[in-house]
Parts: sequence; structure tokens; C-alpha cells
Amino acid sequence: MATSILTERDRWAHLPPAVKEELDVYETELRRMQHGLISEKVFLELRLRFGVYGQRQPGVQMQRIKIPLGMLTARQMDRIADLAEEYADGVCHITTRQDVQLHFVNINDTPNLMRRLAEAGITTREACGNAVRNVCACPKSGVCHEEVFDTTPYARAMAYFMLRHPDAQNFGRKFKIAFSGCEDQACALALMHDIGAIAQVREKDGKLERGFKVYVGGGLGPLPYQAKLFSEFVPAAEMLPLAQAIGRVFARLGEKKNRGRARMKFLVGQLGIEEFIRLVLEERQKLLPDPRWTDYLEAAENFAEKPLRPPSDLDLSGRSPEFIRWLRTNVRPQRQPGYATVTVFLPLGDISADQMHGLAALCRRFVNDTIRTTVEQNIMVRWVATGDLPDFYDGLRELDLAQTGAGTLGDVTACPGTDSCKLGIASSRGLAALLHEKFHNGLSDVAARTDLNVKISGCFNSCGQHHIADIGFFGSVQRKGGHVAPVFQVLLGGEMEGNASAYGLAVAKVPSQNAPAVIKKLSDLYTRERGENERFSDFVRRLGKARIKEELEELTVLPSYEEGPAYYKDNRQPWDYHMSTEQGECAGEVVDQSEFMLEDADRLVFEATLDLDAGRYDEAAAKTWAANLKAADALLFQKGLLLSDNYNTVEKFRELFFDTGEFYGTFAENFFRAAQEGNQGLGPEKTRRRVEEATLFVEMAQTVYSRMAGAKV
Amino acid sequence: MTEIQKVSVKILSDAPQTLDLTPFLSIFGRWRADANHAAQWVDLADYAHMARGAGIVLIGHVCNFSFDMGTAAPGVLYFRKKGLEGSNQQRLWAVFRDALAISRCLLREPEFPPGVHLQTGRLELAFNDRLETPNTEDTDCELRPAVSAVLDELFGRGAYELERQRDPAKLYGFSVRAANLPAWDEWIARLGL
Repeated sequence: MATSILTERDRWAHLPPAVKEELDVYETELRRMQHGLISEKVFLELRLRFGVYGQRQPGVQMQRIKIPLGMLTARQMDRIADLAEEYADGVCHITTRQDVQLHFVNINDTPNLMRRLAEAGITTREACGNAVRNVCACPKSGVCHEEVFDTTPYARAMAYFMLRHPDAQNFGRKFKIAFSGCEDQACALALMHDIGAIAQVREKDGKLERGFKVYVGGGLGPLPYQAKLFSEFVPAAEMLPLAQAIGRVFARLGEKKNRGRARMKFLVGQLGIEEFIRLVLEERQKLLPDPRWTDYLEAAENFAEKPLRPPSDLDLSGRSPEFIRWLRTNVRPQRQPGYATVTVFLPLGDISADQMHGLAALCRRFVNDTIRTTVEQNIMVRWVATGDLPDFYDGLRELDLAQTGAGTLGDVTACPGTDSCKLGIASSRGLAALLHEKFHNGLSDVAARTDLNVKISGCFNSCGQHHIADIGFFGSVQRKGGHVAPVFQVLLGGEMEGNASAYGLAVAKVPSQNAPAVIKKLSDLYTRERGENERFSDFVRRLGKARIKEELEELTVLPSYEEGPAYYKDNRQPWDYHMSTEQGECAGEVVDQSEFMLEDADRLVFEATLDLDAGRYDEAAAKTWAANLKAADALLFQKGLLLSDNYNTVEKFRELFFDTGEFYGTFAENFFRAAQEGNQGLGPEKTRRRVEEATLFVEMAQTVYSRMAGAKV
Repeated sequence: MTEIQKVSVKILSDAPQTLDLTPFLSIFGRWRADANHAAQWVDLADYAHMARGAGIVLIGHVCNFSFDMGTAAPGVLYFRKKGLEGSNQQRLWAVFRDALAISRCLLREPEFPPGVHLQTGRLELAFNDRLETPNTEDTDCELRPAVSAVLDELFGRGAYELERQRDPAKLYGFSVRAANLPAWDEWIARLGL
């Protein structure tokens, strides 16, 4: 095993060393788990932190690929498409958090899949698990008419600052951040995030200063929370340390055992926003300065994307009606005259590898890597010169990607649901696919509406963001007689505008196959009875839940199995429905950071033995030392020390474990001696002894950790 | 030696791009329940909503099988993922044998869309592994003899045209066009099925 891994790894020598090492560690841990050398629980959290998520179908994985701010280059699109056709089922799926997902991946393919992404500058690190997930931002940042300023460089700095940050490795649950350029639009949905940042400027000393209105503790899930205002204005220079301080408070005080209450929204709710703010500001004062907090700011002030082609005008004469329709729904003029954004509408967020390759080629011709995924599961191409739109459209048509209707009711958002998610109860994608079909056959008038939107989740967890839709659905079940039918709860009155400013409420439960009729009925009702300029959410509030429930009454009836067997099948599934859910991996296992570090120490000792056997004594000795440090840091973490405090591990270990007698003296002394002697030129015999000593040190650390963790319970 | 494991064969059809794929949901829905099939079926994936997309895909641990609406034209796509042994030629032979065997099963299903015919003289062959089989001259030198040997057996020497995918960014592979379409039964017989 070891030899083949080492040979294979030579292939990747060109990767940046830190990235290469991280992925080598991932592969080693995978193989160690497969050989029973580490627990599946620990590996589970590790793989989640690399974006590898077990599907509901046994033995296959979903690979989530983190795309910060949804920003993609043509090269990256090509690489993702390559991987889809080699390791998955040939389809790339855009998510509601601007990620890309590949499905039905073999776990053994994941190390090389990640290495090939790394070649294109992409990491999957912390795409899942109890970590900072993909940082979202408006896809129109920098080209939008309404924005205060372009949030792109600030959001990017946040994404890469928090990635792998030691203060963001011990959360009880996932953590989500979004940046918005303005308060009113929907693009970034800042108010449903753990940290939502909305661009602001203020005058200071006669100059305009950039900063953000910051909200904290928002989130959807079964119990949606609106974020609370943390500060009207946080200067840009304070954003990264503020996020770090929030992360430290969340890691220290957030719930770890009860998965259902471990998101930060519960902590903010429990403490109250005033106390939460006080704790965060107190924590902020403790942070050691980090140059990364401000290094990027000067460049950020001057950040601007460069278009590939000069601005130009569009001549509409003689253009086809299809082109005009597409122009109306999928194209928006940019703030910069002569340029437009083009939204490539992807039904259900899916694009084939072939199409992705083709779109990458098209982007190379017309734009300069200015491509972003959107939370509506589409792809937005920016900086298309207006005069190029007809040729761009023709290129999309050749790829079957010129579908009209972006941003209309027909542009339905749906999570994976029972197609692949362990938590799924009903087929959200099945319903979305059925709607897609009906919108082309009989419901096209409904589909074309721009004043309504539909979002679907396969269960109450809201990955499809049903709470913020005008018309939201989430999957559930209903038993009648001896049979179980898939049904959808209908939620009405959510608002995406104003950065997800209102959440909808359930009004009725309908059999899944009646969901299209519900949309039709609500659409007709809205058309018939809306007031002038009345938004759907206001309309719903005015009519009241009782009236709407009455309108939908006939559609809520579930016939018996004998009367209507079709009601007991889910959409686009010709077999009888049966409910089957498992524990989801979305939350990840809660694995204490110390446990991770101890496993890492164990791995380093194992690798040191391989180096020793191969005669690489200096490398072996260095790894034993790294293992000792990891193990010592793991125990110090239990005493409340954080890696970002930059303490001296040896000194602190001596003070807190050796002097107190908590750690076996001889093993600790070996550690101190190794610290004094260093790792170079030890020769075979002494290196072997170091490996043996490190083995014992790490083992003892495991024992002490177990004792400490046990004492806490 | 190159370790070939990921190979796909697509048999093109005369189906229109607008073909209703619903029958394949029923067919593959039944097939996936066969726990003893050598493909080790996992589940099916429904991509019928995608224009020129992956169609309906029956996913297995060993292979995927789909009625695919992408690449070249609609058709049945067999994607072998693992479990190949022997020489390059033996491996390719196994891929064709299994692809045709499962295609034959599909054609026998009562729901298979009437009027749709698989065109035995129009194939797309691809090696889905850019690490092992990059689209280079070296790969071509190594694999083409095996490809030709297998196709000679299937179509007869000189009875087909082989056009290699020239774009180095694309998968190493070929379009295969035979002037005389072999009869399905004859074809199957040549593979010893």
C-alpha cells in the first residue's frame, strides 16, 4: 500500500507543497480507514471537510467543490467538466451556495480528483462539515447598478482567510458567510447567514471609508432565524478580525452535542444579541495582530475586472423573436456602458460536461474569465460586449444552453432531495423536473412570470431555500391506510428581496403530484386579486392564511391507495414511494479538534516509520517531532489554548502537563530532549529511537486526552 | 503499461432529440432492483430535463448505462468504470461484449420506444481517464492496435472508418463509422453472446 501511494504521489510534485501535503494526508487517512487503522467516525469528519459527502445510495459519494463567490475561470470550468466525465455521471450540478457538485463518485477517486482541482486553483477544503462553508456573494458584484461598491475583493479575502484558519476548526456545526453590495436586492441573501455583510460607505476625515453593515446569527434549516444586526458599520479593515473573533466565540460557546441546536443562530438567540456582541468585542481584543487582516485592502480599493473586448452597441434590427425573448429574460445591462451580464439558465442547476466544456470555450472567445455561479443555480457570464450578444447567443444555442426564462417563475430552485441526499423525504428534483416539463407544455404563461418564484426542498432542512420563496415547498409524508404518500408542505410569503428579508409560513400540505396545480392556482389567484404593485408576500398577508388554505383545499386531499395509486408514487418515479431516510452527514460528526490533531499525530508517526524504512532519516525525525507537537497541542487545546495564540508548545506543555504531573514524566522528558537536540543528522539508530519515543508520546497523549474528555462529560 | 479501466462505448440511434425518456425510468427502475447483476447497480439518475444531457442513467459500481442525449446523437451509452483485466485488447473486447449484452437486454424491453433503432455502424468510443490515457500520440501508439483489433473482429477489416478525437483537451477516443450496418444478431454472435 505504502509504496503505491508514494509512487502515485510523485505525479503531483508540481502542486504547491502545502496543498500537496494536505491532499497526501487525506489519501493516507482514507487508506488507513480502509485498513481499519483509524475510526470511520474520524475519517467521516475529515472527508466532509474535503467536501466528500456520502450519498443515500451506499458506496458512492457526492463531491462538493467550493467556488468562493461562485467565481470561475474558463480553465476551471474545463477541469470540473473533465472530472465529471471521468469520475462522476457526466453532469455538473450548481448548488444554492454557488458550489459545484459531482455525484456518484467512488471514494477511491477522490484524492486524485482533488489534486486535479488543485492544479486549476480550486480546493474542496471545508466544502462540507462543521466548518466555514463557501462564502457567497452577489454574482453582479462590480457590474451592478445598485451596489455601494464591489464586494468581490473583500469577500475573497474573507473566504481565504477563514479557509483552514485554526480558529474555525472546532465548530459544532457549519458556518456560512455572505457579502452583498446593497441592502435591497436578493443576490447574496445576507440575512440568512451566520455572518451577513452589506456594503456601506461613510465619511471619515473628509474621505469616504468602506465598510459593512454586519448581521449575525441568521440561518434557514427547520427553524429559520433572521440575522440580528451586529453593527451598522464595521470598517473593511476590521472585517477579518471580527470574523475570527466571532468564530472563536462560536467555537467556545456553541452547542456541540445537540445537533439540532448547534448553529450559531441558537447561540445568538440564547445569549441575546447584546451579550453576543460584548463577548465578540472582548474576544477581538485578545487577538494577536495578523497582517492578512489588512494586506489586501489597498488592492481591494483599486480592484476592477478587465473585459476582453471593447464595449459596443447592439443593433436589434432583424433579430429573431427567440433572441429578443432571451435578451429580455437572461440579459441585463451592466453599470459599465456597452456591456451586459448573460445568465445561462440551467434547469435544476444541471449542466453536462460537454456543455460545460463548450461554455468554457465560448467564454474564452467573448469574456475574460468573468464567470460566476449564482444561488439560483445558474451561471452568469459578465462583461459580454453588448454588440457580441447575438454571436454569444448563437454559441449558447449550439450548446443547447440558450433557454430563456432566467429569473422567472420557471427558473425553479431545488436541492438534490431523495435523488442523492440521505435526509431527503420527497423528490424535490422530481417535482422541479415535472414543473420544467409542464412549463413547456401548458403552463408556459405561469412560467414566464417575473413576479413570483418557486423553491423546493426535499425535507424541512431548507437546502432548497423554500423559506425565502414566494412559493416554497418542502417534502414530507402522509400515511393513509397502510400506505405512505409523498407530500409537500406549501410555504407562502417569503422574500428574497432585501437580502432574504422575510420567511414564508406553511399554509397547506398537498400530495406531491398536486404541486404544479398549486402553483397554477396561486398564480391565477394572484393575477385576479392582487392590488396595484402589490408584492406576493404582501398579497399573502392581506388575504390571510385561512383564505388561501380554503383556495387550496381541494388540492390537499390525498385519496386512498385504491382510489388513486398514482398519488403514492413520487414525481418522475414510476415505483411506489417508500420513505427511507438516514442520519444526514450535513452536520458532520462532532469530532473534537483534539481528536483530529491526535489522529494527525498518529499518521505522522506512521509516515515516519515509512521514511525510516526507506532510509530517509532526517524526514523521519522531522515527522516524529511534528507528531509530538501535534499531540502536545491537542492536549493544550483541552486546556483552552488556541493555535492562533501562537504560544510556545514546549513551554506550555511543560507548565500545564509535566509540572502538574498530568503526563507521564519519562515520555514528556523525551519530548523536551527532542526539542533541544533538533531533528537533523541523527542517523539511523537515534532516528529509530525517536520514532519509538514519538509512538509512546502520542499513545500517552491519547490516554490523557481520553481521561480529560471523560472528565468533562 | 497503461492501466485501462474507464472506457465508454456509445451506440448511436435514430431517436430524435425530443424523445420522451419516461420509458427508461420504468425500465431502469426495474433493473436497479436486481441485486445480483454484475454491474452492481446503485440507483438511477434522471437528467431528462437537460437538453442534450445525460438522459436517464442507471448507475452501477462497475458501470453506468444510459440512454444518453449528448455527444454526437442520442443513443445507449455504456461506461465501464472498473473490473477490467488482461491485455488492452481483452479489456476492450470485454467492454464491447458487456455494452452489447446490456443493450440487447434494453432492446428486448417492451417499453423501449417503438421506432427507435440503434445504429450498429455508428459508435463513439472514449477512454474516460486523462491521467492514464491522455489524448496524446503515445497513448495512441499504445492503444490503437487494440482498438483496431477489436473493431476488425466486430466489423471486418477495412469495413469501417476510425476518426480519432484530435482535440488534446478532450478524452482520447474515436468515432467509428461502418458503411454497412451489421445486423444486430450477427454482431452479437461475433462477440460470442
